[in-house]
Amino acid sequence: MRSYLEMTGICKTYEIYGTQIKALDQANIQVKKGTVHGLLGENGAGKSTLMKILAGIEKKDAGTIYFKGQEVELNNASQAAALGIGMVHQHFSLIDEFTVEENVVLGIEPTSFLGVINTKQMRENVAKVAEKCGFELDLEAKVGSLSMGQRQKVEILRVLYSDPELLIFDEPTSVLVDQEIESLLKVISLLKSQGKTIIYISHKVEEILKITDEVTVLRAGKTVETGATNKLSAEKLVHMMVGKYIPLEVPKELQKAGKVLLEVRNLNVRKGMVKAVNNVSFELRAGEIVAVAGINGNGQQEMVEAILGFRKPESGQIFLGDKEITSLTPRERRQMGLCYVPEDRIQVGSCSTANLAENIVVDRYFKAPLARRGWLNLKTMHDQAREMITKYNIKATRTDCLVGTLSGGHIQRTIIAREISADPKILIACEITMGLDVESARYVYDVLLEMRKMQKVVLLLSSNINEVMSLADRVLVIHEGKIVAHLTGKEGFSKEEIGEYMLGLKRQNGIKLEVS
Amino acid sequence: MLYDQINSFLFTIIATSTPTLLASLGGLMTGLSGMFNVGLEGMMLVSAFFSVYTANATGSLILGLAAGVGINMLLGLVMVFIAEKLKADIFVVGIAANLLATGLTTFLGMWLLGLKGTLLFEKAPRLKLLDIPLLGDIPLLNGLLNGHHLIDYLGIVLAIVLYLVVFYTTYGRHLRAVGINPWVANARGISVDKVRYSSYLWCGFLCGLAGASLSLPIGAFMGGPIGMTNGRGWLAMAVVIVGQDNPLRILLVSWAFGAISALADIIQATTNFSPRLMMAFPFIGALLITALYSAGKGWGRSAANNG
Repeated sequence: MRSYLEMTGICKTYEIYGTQIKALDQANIQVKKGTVHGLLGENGAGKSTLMKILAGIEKKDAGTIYFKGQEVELNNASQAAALGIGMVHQHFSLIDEFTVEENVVLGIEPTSFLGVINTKQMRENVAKVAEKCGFELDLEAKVGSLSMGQRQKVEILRVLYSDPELLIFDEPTSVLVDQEIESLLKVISLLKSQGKTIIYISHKVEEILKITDEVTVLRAGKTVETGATNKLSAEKLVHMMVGKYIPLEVPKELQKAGKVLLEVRNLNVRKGMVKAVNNVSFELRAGEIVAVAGINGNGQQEMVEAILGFRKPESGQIFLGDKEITSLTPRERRQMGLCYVPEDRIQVGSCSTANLAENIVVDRYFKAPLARRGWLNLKTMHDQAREMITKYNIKATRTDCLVGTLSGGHIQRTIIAREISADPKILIACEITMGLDVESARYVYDVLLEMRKMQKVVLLLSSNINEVMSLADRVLVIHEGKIVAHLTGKEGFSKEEIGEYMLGLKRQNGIKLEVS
Repeated sequence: MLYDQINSFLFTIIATSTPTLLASLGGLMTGLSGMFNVGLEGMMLVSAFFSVYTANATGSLILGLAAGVGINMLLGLVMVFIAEKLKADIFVVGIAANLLATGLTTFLGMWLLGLKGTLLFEKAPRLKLLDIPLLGDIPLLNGLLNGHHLIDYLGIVLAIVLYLVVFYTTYGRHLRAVGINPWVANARGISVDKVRYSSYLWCGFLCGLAGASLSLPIGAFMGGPIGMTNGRGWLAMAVVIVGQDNPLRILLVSWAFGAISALADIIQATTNFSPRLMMAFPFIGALLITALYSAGKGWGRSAANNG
């Protein structure tokens, strides 16, 4: 008797401009009906690829798939959908310019005659599905105007719309903040209670332990183990994932903060009609990691963009050392030692269609030794890139491979390599470990602590409270564009306290922003 | 007297804007699919030749029209095949189509008729001007809309039909989805290839009509580098940009450009202004409108961000 779903001996190799990437190497997975099945592995382990093959988006090179006892060939997404297989993607497959309901029905629009879309029917259908899983969404809003959490709901709606039996969630929590994660996990239990089978891709061990019945662990394209979740411990899972044990604590030595490196005075930023940043002032000192904690969309992004010069502030001043930089261009600010690891590594942080070497030199190609009298020195460029590959352990065989072919974690390593090698005085790091596996995240922490040790400063923006608490010397909590709390950490931070400030349940009076 | 002049001005708007309108609708369909065709000029020229040549050879307008449109649709398929399957840049393919059209029509003219320059097809039946009695009593509207030939009316009808197709049918929505994000469209089981091929079929069909509307009414063809299309295909590209992916807006923009060239005709007939300069008038107008439009859009965007 075969399982509900069986994938055996699945292989997949990508070849892009001569670079061979073996994503899957004889991977197997068996899933029982009506269970939540976790698919655990590091970035680049092949989890997404395996599931994209199941959803008909990628074609396998070898292997067999049995679904409900029948061998199936899945050549495209519609075939998978017809069998009742649906996938909620990590990078949402939504069209920003279309409305929520248009996105949900795209490809299977209800029609009245001659292919004319039946708008009324569409609206009713979508509203019914939304109601069934308890989503409150403005169905006529353009998807581009929604928050990440809302977009994910649209993505879930669109998968549920065709009423699949088997749902695949690809790293669904990587773009969500804590509260949104809770509501997502509720939706998953609700779906399970409605008799659906769920495959949950993640690299977060705690989530896997919390919601799955069974788990399959992938490492470097191979299946390491499959078993019942309640028989596995967190340590064992981490061990299976990475192959070696990595302690989760961060060693941070006590040190005194030095002179002021960055100062923000009465910063106000407007975004459209909204006052995104409201009279924010703070200073950053050498040898510190300062975290800005806040729920997504409370003005952090606009504040950072104003500091970096991407967005014009309404009023206020920004100083780098004792020099005012408020009216300088982003490049001028960069040259003065202000570097940035953005949250959106695909669109902002890198250029997927340029190669690794080009991505690394993008902020310095115009200077010696990379350029002389307007001519680029390509050999130096590739030599530098090769150095970075070794130093930052980037999983790429060639310096001319396109960055878009790397996995998310290694794109992030490439970005970090560029930013750190620019020798910044100040590094602004936004959700720097979001979506990264344990080992990569651990590596990033070491990099940040090294900067701190070198008397530089890191401004850390993160929605991961654990990360904030273990790394930061000070925490600024931002809520609705205002700094509502300044926690110095002398008394230690409490997760609950930061959470309350983030949610706006509490605020400090007479916030002192200087470090004594 | 002034009334007559106004009427003739209005009439010229439609008469001169039809080829541009049809070509820009074709350009629009390819632009929506994400593979904007810059070979509109070439497509029109090919159809202008084949439609009048076939009409001349068979003595049938319908066959002439079918030949121009059919060969153009075939050309469209070849273009998209080269781009999608052979992975050439669609921009380069479009440019190649323009160059091919000039060369091919000149060559065919020499080969089939032994003539260069203006080719007269005396046996080709002419496209007749239609009189719609219903419009006869309405002042100005009669001047604007009455007495054109079939393709002129077809252009207006097609603009309305395409508006409905683009915004109210699954095909239109899939077309837009493919153009905005082909990966998402593919993931939803929409065949990106099929949609793109179909958009080039539309383009071939519409540019086919556009070309035929140039040569069939006069029973002649002018080839060479400045052929009878005379830059209308390039003008159409500006119309698509200003028309913001909306067939009805494209209709209005084509008329606006038509008005500019009608105005140029009047100035040319009534003053001593250099006629050569006057011929550049529609293009200068297009340049200005496109520049103003882009500037306006840029303004709107920065206002939305900061305001």
